[in-house]
Amino acid sequence: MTTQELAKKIRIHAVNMTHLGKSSHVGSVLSIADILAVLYSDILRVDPKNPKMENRDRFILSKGHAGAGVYATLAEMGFFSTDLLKTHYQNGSLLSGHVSHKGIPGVELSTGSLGHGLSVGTGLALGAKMDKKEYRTFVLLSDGECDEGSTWEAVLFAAHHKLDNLVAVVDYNKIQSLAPVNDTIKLEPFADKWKSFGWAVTTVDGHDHEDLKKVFASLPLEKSKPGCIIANTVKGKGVSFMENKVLWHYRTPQSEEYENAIKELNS
Amino acid sequence: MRNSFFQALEEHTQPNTIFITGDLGFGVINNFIKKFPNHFLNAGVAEQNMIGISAGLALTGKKVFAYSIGNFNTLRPLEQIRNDVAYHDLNVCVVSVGGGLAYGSLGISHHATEDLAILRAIPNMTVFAPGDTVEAYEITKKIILEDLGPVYLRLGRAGEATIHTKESIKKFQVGKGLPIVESDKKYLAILSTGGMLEIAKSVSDKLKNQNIESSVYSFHTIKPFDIELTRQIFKEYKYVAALEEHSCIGGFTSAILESLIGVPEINLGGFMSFALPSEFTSKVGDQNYLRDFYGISEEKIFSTIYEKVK
Repeated sequence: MTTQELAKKIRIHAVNMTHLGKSSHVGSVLSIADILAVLYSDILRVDPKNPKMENRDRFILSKGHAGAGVYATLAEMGFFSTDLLKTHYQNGSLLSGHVSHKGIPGVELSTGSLGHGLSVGTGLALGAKMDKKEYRTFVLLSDGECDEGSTWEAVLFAAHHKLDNLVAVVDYNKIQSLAPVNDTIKLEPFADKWKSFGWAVTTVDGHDHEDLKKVFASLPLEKSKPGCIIANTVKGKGVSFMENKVLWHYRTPQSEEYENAIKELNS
Repeated sequence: MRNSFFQALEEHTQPNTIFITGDLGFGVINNFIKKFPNHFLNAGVAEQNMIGISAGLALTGKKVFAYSIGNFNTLRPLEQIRNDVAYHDLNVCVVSVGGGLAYGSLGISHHATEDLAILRAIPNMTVFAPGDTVEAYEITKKIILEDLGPVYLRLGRAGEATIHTKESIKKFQVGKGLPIVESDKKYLAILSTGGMLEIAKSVSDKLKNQNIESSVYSFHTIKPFDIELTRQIFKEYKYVAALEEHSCIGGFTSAILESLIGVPEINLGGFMSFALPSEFTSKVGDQNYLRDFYGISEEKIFSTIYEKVK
C-alpha cells in the first residue's frame, strides 16, 4: 500500500467512523491523514505484531480529538482489525472519541485534553537519552494547543536538555474550535517562536507526501536540538465542502453530506 | 518527615529511580544530587510539564518522584496527574512537603488543606499521609522498591517527632492502619492521619493522666483505606476521635464515614472529628497558631475530647 492509498483509507474511515458514531472532529482527522500515512507507512519503526517492541519509535497524538485517525491508521497497519473501527464512539466500544490506549495495541498515550502530549513525549525522549536507546519520539500537536502554557513548558525543557530524538509536528491548519487561529490567539511568527526557544524548525506542506518523507528522512533536523516540523495543512482536506470550514470541527457527516464526502474521497 | 524521605531515597535509590523537582528543595536535596547526579532532574518552575515528563519517563520504566511543596505539584498539574499518570497507571510518586498548615505563615497559597480529598478521588492513586519520620521512611522505601503505581505522598516539613519504635513499624502494610497505643478497655480510640500523630499520642498520654485510657491508630494510607479496621474500631469503642490537618470535606473524616456505610450496628454519636473548616484562613500564623485557631492543637483537642468522654 502506498502512502497515498493509506491516506485515502484513513480519510474514508474517518468519514465513516464519525458518520456511524455521530461524532465530531472529522475535519481535524482529514487534516492529519497524510502526516499519519507517511509516518506509519514509511518513517516510524513500529511492528504491528510486536506493538510493545522495546526500541520502537513512539508516536503520540497530542490532539487527541483526532483519535479516529490514529485508530484507522493502526487498523490499516495491522495492529488490530479494521472491523473494530465500526464501533468507534458507540456504547460499549473500546474506541473513545479521544484517543485511548486502553485495550488498543499501538496507542502509546491517551490524550484528549490539549497540552499534555509534548510533555509526556519529552519524558519519553529524555528516558531514551538516559538509557542510550535509539528510538525517537514523535508528537503530533494541533495549532490550537499551542495556546496551552504547558506546551511551551515542554518546549523550553526539551531544548534545554538537547533532545534531538524528539520531534514535534504541528498540524497548522489555522482553524481552531470556534474560529481561525488568527482571530483567536495569534501564533505568528510561529516558526520564529519555536526557533527562539531553541528548536530546529522546518516548514512543510502537510499534504505533500514527498515533502513529508524528505523532511522525516532528514531527522534529526539539527544535532542537539529538538525538531519542530510545522506542517501547513487544510482542515477538512480531501472533502471539498469541508475544507477550511470551522463548521467541520464539530459537524457530523450525515445523509447527503456523508454520501457526497465518501463519493469524493473514492473518486 | 522531609529528612526521612531524603534519607530513604539516598539509601535505597535503584537504577530506575528518578527524582525530579519543580525547582524546590533548597538545602535538602544536595546530598542526593551529589550521590546520584544522573538520577536528579530540575523541571524548573513548570509543574504541569514536570508531571507530564514524569509520566513519559515512567513509560520508559523509570520510577519517578515528582517533588514540590504545598499545592504546586498537586493542584496545579492535577489533570496531568489524572490523565497522564493515573489513567496510564504509571509508577510516579507525586511527593509534596508542607502538607496541611506546615507553611502556615506563608499564606493560603501554601496551605495544602484539600489535597487528600482531591488526590484520593482520582482512580488508581494510592494516597499516603505518614504520621511520623519512621512511617515516612518506610513508605518512601516501599515506593522505590515495589510497583505501587501512581502515588501521592503527603509529607510534613522537617522536625516532626518519631512516634514509632523499631518494633511497632514492623507491622507496616500499605492500606492498613497501625496501632501506636492499644487499650484493652475499648473506650476511646484516637485515629490520626499525617502529621497529627504526634498530637494524637500526646492527647492520649494526657488523658491517661486523667485516668482515661485510649488507643491510638495511625492511618498512614488514606487510599486504599483500611475499611476493616475502621469498622472494627467503631463496633468496639464507645468513643472515636479522628484527627487530620485537612479540610473537613473529603479527607480522613470523609473516608472514615464512607467506610461505615451499610454497617448496621454503628452509632456515630460518639464520633468526634477534628479537621479544618472549609474556609481560607483570615489569620496569619504559623502551624501551631493556626492549628490552635481552628481547634486542632493538642490543647484544644484534649479539652474537647475530655469534656465529651470524662
